[in-house]
Amino acid sequence: MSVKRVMGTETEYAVSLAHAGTYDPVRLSFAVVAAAADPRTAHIRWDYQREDPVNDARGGRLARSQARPDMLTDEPQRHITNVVAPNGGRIYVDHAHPEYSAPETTDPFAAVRYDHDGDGLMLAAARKASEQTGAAIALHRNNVDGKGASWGTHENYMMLRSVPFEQVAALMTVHFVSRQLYAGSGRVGLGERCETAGFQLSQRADYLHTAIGLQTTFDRPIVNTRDEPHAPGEYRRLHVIVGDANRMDTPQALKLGTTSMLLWMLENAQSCGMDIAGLLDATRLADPVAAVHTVSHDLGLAAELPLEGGGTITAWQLQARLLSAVYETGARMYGTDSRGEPLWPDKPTVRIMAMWRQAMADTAAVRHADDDERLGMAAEASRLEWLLKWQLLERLRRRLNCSWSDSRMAALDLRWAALDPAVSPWEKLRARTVCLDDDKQHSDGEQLSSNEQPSAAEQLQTAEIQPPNDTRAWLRAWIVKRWPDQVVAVSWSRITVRDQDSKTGLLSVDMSDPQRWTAASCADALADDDVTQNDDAAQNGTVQNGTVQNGTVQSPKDATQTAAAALKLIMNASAA
Amino acid sequence: MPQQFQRNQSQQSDAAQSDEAQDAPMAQQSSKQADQSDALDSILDDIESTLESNAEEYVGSFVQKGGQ
Repeated sequence: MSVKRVMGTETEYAVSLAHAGTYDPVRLSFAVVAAAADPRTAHIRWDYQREDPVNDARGGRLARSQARPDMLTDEPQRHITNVVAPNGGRIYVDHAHPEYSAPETTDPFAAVRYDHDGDGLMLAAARKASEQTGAAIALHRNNVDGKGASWGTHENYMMLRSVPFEQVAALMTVHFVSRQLYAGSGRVGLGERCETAGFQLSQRADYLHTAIGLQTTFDRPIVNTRDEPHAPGEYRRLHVIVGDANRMDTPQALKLGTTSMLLWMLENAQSCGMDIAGLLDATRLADPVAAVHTVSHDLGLAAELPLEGGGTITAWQLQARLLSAVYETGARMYGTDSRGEPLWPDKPTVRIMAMWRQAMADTAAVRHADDDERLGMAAEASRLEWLLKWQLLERLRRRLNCSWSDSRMAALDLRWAALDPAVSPWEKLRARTVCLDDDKQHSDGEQLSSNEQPSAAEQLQTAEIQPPNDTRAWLRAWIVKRWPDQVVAVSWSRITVRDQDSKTGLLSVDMSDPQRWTAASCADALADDDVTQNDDAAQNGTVQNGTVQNGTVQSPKDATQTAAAALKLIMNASAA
Repeated sequence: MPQQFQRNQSQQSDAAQSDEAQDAPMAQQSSKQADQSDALDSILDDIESTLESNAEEYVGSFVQKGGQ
C-alpha cells in the first residue's frame, strides 16, 4: 500500500427547520431518510449481525450492560430506516442526525468524490421531505450548534492489525492535534457553548475531552478505539472521530491522505529500519487534550505545546516532523529520483505528498502575515478552508464594525455550512478554491475563473450515481440495483438474497474482504457464464468479454438469472 | 567533463527561469489581493440585508441534539 488503502467517510448532517420555531431533529431525520429511500429497495434490511461497537482496539470488550444505550449502534430503534445508496453507501438515522456513509474507496481523491455524492443525495432527500411534510427542512454540513451539541464527521482506514495499537494511538494523537492547521473548517466562537467570542481553526476541537476511548457521543476522545473491522482478521479499521465537516476539497483530501500516509509508515517502519519509537518519544505531548484546544484557538499558528519529555514544540513543527518521517520512509522503501523525491509507487501518493508540502508552505506564509495581509491571500485561501471563512467573516466584521460575538457573524458561519446553494456563501466561493475532481482539476487556485459552477448537489442531479469499481461496494450496489426485490439484507461485509435452491430460502454471501468483489472480478466471473450486454449496457458501453469499460458494469442479459445465481457464479470464480 | 558542464548549464537556466517565475507572481500580487477582496465583498453585498433581518432568528433556532 501507499496512500492507497480502503477508506471512507461518514457524515452526520444537522437537520433543522429553515423558518424558526421548535422542531424535533429526530423526527426530521426520519423524514429525510425516508425521503432518500427508493420504493424498490425500501424493504431491504440493514444486517447488524457483523457490527460490534463494544469491541475495544486496546484489547477486551465493554460489557453491554455497562454501555450507554447510544453506544449500542447495532441495536437501533425499531423503526429505523436504512437506505442503501445507489453508489453502495448507506443513508440512515444516527441518533438525532441523518447520516451518509460513503461506499468503500481506495484512495483519498475517490473518497472525497464519494463524500460529495452524500451532499447531493441528502439535499435531494431534504427537498423531497420538505414537499412531503410541508415543512422547510434545512441541512447543514458542520459539527456544532454553538449551544453545546456536536455531531461527527468520521474517517475510516483499513490498516494492518500487526502494527501495535499503542503506536497507532501515539502517532495519531500527534497528527490529530497538529493537522488542524490545514484541515480545520473554521468556527465562530470558543468553547462548547461559545462562552468566549472569537474564531478558531476547527469545529470539533472544543468537544474533545479525553486522549483515548471507546465512546463517541460523550467525553469524546482524540483517538477512538472502536474495533469493528468489517474486514478480514489481519486488518483493523481505524475509526477517526476528530475531523471537521469540510466544504473545501483540499483540507478533506489532505486529512484522508496524510493520515493514510502515516498509517503506511507505521505498517512499513520495521521492514525499512525506521525508528518509530524515537519519533514518538520526541513528539509525545504532555497534555494532548489541552494541545488540541490550544492549536485550534491559536490563529497565530505559533503556540508552544509542552512535550512530555520536556521543552515545547509547535503544531507546525510537529507536522514537519511527521512529513519528514514519511519522506524518510519513502526514500528507504522506494529510493529517490534526482531531486531527492521518493519514487512513490502511484499518482495519488505523489499528489498527496505535494499537497502536504504545499500545506506546510501555506501555513508558514499565513503564520508570518498580519491580518491585513491575510485578508488578501487568495492562493492560500483557495486551499485552507478556515482561512477563506475567516477572510469572509473578518471583512463582514470590519464592515459592520462589530465583535465576533455578533449574531450576524454566527449566522454567516452557519450559512457557510448550509447545503442549500441559495443560502450558502461557500457555493459562491467554491469556484475560487482548488477543486480536486479529476475532470475539473486545477493545479492552482489562482488560475480559477470566478465563473459560478453548479453546486455539487446540482451536478449530481444530472449525473447518475455509480459505485466505486474497485471495492466490494460495487457488488453491493449492483445486486441491489439489478434485483432489488430479491435482496433481503445488506451490511458492509455481507449480502443476503432470496434463493429457491436453499433450505432456508436465503443465500448469504460473506464479503469480508473489501478489496474483492470488484467490478472487474465480478465481470470476469459473469463473462465465463456467457454474459452478454443488456440494452442499458450497450448504451453506456460496459461489460464486453469480461472487461469493464467506461467505469461501469451493467446487468447481464439473461432474464432468468437470479441474484442468487449471479452471486454463486461470482463466489465460485472467487474461490477458484 | 562535458556531461557535468551541461548539467551546470541547465541548472543555471533553471535558476534563471525560476527567478522570472518569481517576478511574475510578485507583479500580480496586488491585483490578486484586490480581486480576493472584491469577490468577498460582492458576496457580503448579496447577503448583508438577509443577515441584518434574520441572523438572530436563524442562529437562535438552530438547536441540535448531540451525535457521534
